[in-house]
Amino acid sequence: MSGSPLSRRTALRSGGAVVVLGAVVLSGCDLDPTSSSAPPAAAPRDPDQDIVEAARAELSGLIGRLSATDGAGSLVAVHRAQLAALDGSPPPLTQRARALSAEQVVTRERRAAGRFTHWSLTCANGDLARVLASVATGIRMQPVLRGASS
Amino acid sequence: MSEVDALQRTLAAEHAAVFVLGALGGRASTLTDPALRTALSAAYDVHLERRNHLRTMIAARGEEPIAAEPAYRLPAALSTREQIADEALRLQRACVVTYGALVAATAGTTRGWAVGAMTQTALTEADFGGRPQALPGLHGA
Repeated sequence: MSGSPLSRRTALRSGGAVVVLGAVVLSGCDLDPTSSSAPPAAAPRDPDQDIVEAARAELSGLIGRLSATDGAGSLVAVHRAQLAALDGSPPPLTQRARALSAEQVVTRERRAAGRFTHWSLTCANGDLARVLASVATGIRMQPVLRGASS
Repeated sequence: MSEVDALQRTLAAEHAAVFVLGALGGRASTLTDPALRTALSAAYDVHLERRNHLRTMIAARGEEPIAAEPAYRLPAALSTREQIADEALRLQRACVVTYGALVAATAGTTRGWAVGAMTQTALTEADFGGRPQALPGLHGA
């Protein structure tokens, strides 16, 4: 069976390191009074940044609502692991989140699986695509969707 | 890894899967467990179809699809239902990792096909006693 030369975390973090390094170099140029008066070029934007932020927000939203839902502890743990794979931080616990009904849980989980599949197909970075596809698959594996009629 | 290399590695995995699932089906035929036999037969058919599709995709890119090995190593102990199901589960999980690598190395319709294969393979793990995972296909990647 084949393996992979790059881990997902290496890919995600190395992408971030490139952006940070670019910002440091550009800021150093700004301190040179003899440098050209042309405005510094902006650091190249990661084409997948919007997808990563949307993916983290999706999981954070699910964690927040499911944390207030009875019997959803295992799903919260699943989404926390998935959020960590995207280098996201879990949302702070608040008492404002409303619990979801059983039907709403199925609807939200199914919608999330579809979104992660879509993001895995549209992102530019292959290693990110693998993580997003794994999240989508992991959601579909959970009993809440395995036992629900589509 | 290039797209063709990833397709060839996936094809190699599917060659192994077809061989092993065929052997497991033979072992299971001696057991009185129709559910396991049905699951093995269904998995065999799916992997056979994917193997053939991978051959077509590789040939369409002007490359020669790699051939299967003459034989593949099987665990010595494959006589009980649990041993056969465990081996089938190990195989399915390895294929999920392989399809994850294919997702990473491809784009467009090929990536879409790989995502579908990754998901469907992971969902069949339950037929062999597999438990749901948060991030299938990443461990071992």
